[in-house]
Order: sequence, then structure tokens, then C-alpha cells
Amino acid sequence: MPNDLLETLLAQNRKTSARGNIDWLSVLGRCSESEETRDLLRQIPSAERRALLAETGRTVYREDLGNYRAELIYNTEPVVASGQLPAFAGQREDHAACLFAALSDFVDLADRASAEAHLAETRIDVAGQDHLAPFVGKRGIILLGVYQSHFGYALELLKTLGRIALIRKPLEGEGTEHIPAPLLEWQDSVELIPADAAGGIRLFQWLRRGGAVGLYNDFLYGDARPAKGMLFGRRVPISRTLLRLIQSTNSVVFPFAVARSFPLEGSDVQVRVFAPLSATVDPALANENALAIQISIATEALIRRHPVQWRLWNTLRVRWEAGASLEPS
Amino acid sequence: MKILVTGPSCSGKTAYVRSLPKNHKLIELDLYESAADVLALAQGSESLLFEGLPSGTDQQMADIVACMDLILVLDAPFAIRFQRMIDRDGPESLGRFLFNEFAWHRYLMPLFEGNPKARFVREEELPKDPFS
Repeated sequence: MPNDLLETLLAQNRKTSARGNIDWLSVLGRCSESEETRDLLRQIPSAERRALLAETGRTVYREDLGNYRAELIYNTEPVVASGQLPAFAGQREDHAACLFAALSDFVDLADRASAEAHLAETRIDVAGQDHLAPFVGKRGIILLGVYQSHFGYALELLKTLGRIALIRKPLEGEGTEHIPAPLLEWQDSVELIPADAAGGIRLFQWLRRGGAVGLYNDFLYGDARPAKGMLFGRRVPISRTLLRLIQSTNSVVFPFAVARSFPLEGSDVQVRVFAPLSATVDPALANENALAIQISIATEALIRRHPVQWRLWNTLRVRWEAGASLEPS
Repeated sequence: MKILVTGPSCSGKTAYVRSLPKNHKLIELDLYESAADVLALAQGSESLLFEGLPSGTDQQMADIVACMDLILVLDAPFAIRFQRMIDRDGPESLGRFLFNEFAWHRYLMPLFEGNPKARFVREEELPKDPFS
């Protein structure tokens, strides 16, 4: 992805626009990284916290606070009107509830003690892990997810893969003095690798040794030269570095979903591993186009399974615009 | 006469008491760290106007409330209060707002619900001078 585009996206995620928008996704992200906020929210029992956050999200949607509803309609109307996701027109408020309730997971899974207590009271339904067995320890494994519920709910499954690397966004001025965002860094079997050049080398080594990596394919990677992907019928950039990594390490890619069930104050979470992408099972098929198409389809399919839970709907237009610039003139 | 003006975050407590005639000493509870100090004031004979949320142990909170002759509980909808919080403190104060919301419903509302001295009022229904 071109650097100027990445900067535009990052800037959009940091500031309110001149139109008075509040970028709630970024606000919630910063809340999840704020120890003070987590400490305050931790004092609310988890189920009540999720209910309260969900109600807050619904309020933000109904009252269009910070233009949230307007932005959401602007971003999602094309997929509704084109018949790709017609039901979503009636689910936007649920999406807002999920977006806010997801903050609760970063509180519950921020440290070992809290996570162990929370996971013990959560009913986690795991399926599809059999897909992984033939490849564990033999090939690099990439669990390809999208921003829905927290990866931490899959912890028991992840542990069966040995040590796992999770990709996180590089922090501003990436360096040792920065504390990573709370993404299971307390878990011994997890290594957090930034999505930057140094992280790319580390990932290469990790996958070559048959390690497992979890990543969000809907994360906006800062590639210098993005590849052409598709999302809801239009071109979007996807990480060429990711495609190269798959090719150069012969890694196998498994679509992977973690999604909390409704009602959000309930205790049920689904973890699903799906069949590996065929272009990654047979290295002879792993050309860039095939990988880009299959990864794109998998990403969209993951979003479609739980569209209300996808947290990045309000980036869809930006992605499309970035994809349009990839087309030959 | 002792009057407590209370309510959840951003319900308009402070704006209300500041709009009242300055005939009575105002005790802003947020400024007191010790519930014992507040209780001592509440148990005195002076006519006082208290504003904010009682704090301390369950017993201290109940004792403070018991000293009041009238409790005005401001009743503003969540959406309005949340928007006020955003305007006043910024959206990233979400965590504090929600914690206060939880604490209000869990610990404070039970002190007022069913209390014959408590009057739940909307902002537009607040008396111009509660001492009169």
C-alpha cells in the first residue's frame, strides 16, 4: 500500500474530521489501550459491561453521535443496495452494539488472571480444528481472520499449535520503549510481531520453521506495492508481502473466525477453522493471482458469516478508493 | 433544611445548583475525600445544599442520605447525558462515564428508590428554589 495512502488512513483514524465526525473505531481502540480505561471498566462485571457498552453503541447509532450512523450508511449502502447484503440495512444498529461491546474483550483478556477467569466462564464452541492437524509442525500455518471478536477466545486452540505469532499494527516510532497494544502479550505461547519490515523478516523465519501465525487480513498493511484483491465487488489493495510470504514459505492458509454470539451479554463464543485455501495447499498453485483471489474470497466470506460483528465497515469506501487507484489508467 | 441534589453523570446537577439563589451554603460532594467529613456536615444543624454523589461505605452513604430532608434525583435520558459527556470531556472519557453509570445504578439508585424523601425529577421540572 502506498505510504501516502497509509498515512491518510492513519490520519483518518486519529482525528475528527472537519464535519465533526468522531472516529469511534479509533476511540475504542485507544480506550482498549488505555490502562486507566481498562481499570475503570474492569470494575464492572463482564456481562454487565458488555450490555452497557452495547447499549452505548446503540445510542451512538440512534442519535448519530459523531455522524456514526451517517458514516455507516454511507459505507454500507452500496452493499445493501446492490443486493450483496440486503439484510444489513436492518442490522446496522446491531453492528454498533457489537463494535462497542468488543471493547469489553480487551478488558477481560488484557492480563493472565483476568483472561483465565473470563475464559473459564465463557462457553467457547470450537470446530474445524481437524483441518489443521495434517499440517501442524510440517508447514507454516496462517490463520486468516478479520476484525470481529478477540483472538484470545481461541487461546486453547492456539496453544495446540505450539507458539503462535500474532501480527499487530506497528506502533508510532516502533521501538522497545513502547508497550504493545493488549493482544495476549501476557500469554507465553504468543509472540507479537509488528506489521513492518522487521516484522516481515521475523514472520518469514517463523513460517519457514513450520510455525503458526494469526493475522487479520482486513488490517491495512503498509506495503510499498499492494496486490489487487476484491471486497464486496470492488478492487481493494491487499498485502503483497503476505502473498510473498505464503509463496516463499509454502505456508498453508486457513480462514479463521472468532465471533461472539448474541445476546452480547451472554457467554457464548464461536471459534471456527475452515478448510485451507487450495492455492496454498499445493505450492504449485500458489501464484499471486490465485492467492489474491482466494484470500479475498475468504476474507469476504468471514465478514459475511457475521456481518454485524465486522468492526471495519466504516473503512470500506476508503478501501475501495485505494483499490481504484490500483487499476491501470 | 438539608437538600441533596444528585443524579447520574452529566444529568445537570451542577448546572442546576449554580442556577439557584445563593442563600444556602453549597457543599459539592466531589470536593470531599472523606465521607466522614460529609456526614459530620450533614448531621449538623445548618441549612445546607449538597450536590453530587454520596460516597463511602454502604453505611456511610445510607447515613448521609438519611440526614437529608429532600433529595432531588435528576432524571435525564442516557442518550442526552452521553452526548453531554462527549461535548464536555471528549469521547475517550467513555470508560469513566460507563463506570459511573454502573456505580450509579448498582450502589446509589437503591438508596433513593422507595425513599419517601427522594423526588425523581426531569430537568425542566426542577424547582426554582427547593428551599421555598
